[in-house]
Amino acid sequence: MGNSQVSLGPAPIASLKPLTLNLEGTDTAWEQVTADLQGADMYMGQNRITLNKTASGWQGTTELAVCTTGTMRWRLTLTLSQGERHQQHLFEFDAR
Amino acid sequence: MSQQLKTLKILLILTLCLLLGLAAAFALRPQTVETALLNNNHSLGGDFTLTSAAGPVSLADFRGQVAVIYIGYASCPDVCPTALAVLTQSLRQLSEAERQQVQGIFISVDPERDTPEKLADYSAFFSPQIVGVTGSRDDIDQVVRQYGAFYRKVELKDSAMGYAVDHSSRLYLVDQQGRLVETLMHNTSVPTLTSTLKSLINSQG
Repeated sequence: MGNSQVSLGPAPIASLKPLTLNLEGTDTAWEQVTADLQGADMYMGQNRITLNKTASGWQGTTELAVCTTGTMRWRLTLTLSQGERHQQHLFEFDAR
Repeated sequence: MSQQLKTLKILLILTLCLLLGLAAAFALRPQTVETALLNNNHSLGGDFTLTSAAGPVSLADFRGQVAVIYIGYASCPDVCPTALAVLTQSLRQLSEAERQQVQGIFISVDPERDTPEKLADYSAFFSPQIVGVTGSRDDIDQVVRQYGAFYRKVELKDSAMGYAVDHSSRLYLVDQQGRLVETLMHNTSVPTLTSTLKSLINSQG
């Protein structure tokens, strides 16, 4: 992915609040970028979005669509695709 | 002669070992793991039958109407009822004729506490267009899987509630043919839901 920056906010990341996901500084050749949000330890339902291309990268709006009582660890999987070429990047974070 | 027999025996044993090895290699070969790399929502949704206070309710009962499904539980102490409130407000924005074209279905994943009677009261509090249903654990799990949702019981210490249920919070929109056509985020605004409902109602013609 080169020297890229991923941001998800606003902080603190909370369930059932709109979240903006930004990916900056990627190779411009990618044709599609999808983001999948899953529990780090368990399946949390379908939570996948396709990001839109912006002038400086990719952006999408999502949410942790789970009504939960405590803090949970989430895993964000970014998949960059160009034809048959795919690249995946995983990030973990805690959210209430 | 006995030397030849011995050689043959060894050859047979070796062949057997080779065959066993091949069989083991075949049985233990790496399995293809399905890696759904891209969006693959087309298989979600589908019919189900659960129980309301008035008896069994099937999604198929609402063919010709747009159904809006929410999966949760009535004792939810937090923000979850807001999704039902958004649906209620959105239903109020529709004309009477349009409203009759929409059926809300609230599925409780907490059948131990949410009896069909309790769900009837709870749903009526929001709108007469919403029916509250639940079922056996197996039936609930089946629907939850079908719609790509999730829930789990969480024991609460020092709480009169005893346990809470973490669960997906989304609005599932099903068209007049029973197909899941859209999954809306919990934060969907009333105008967005209203316009989506209107376009679905009118797409029927």
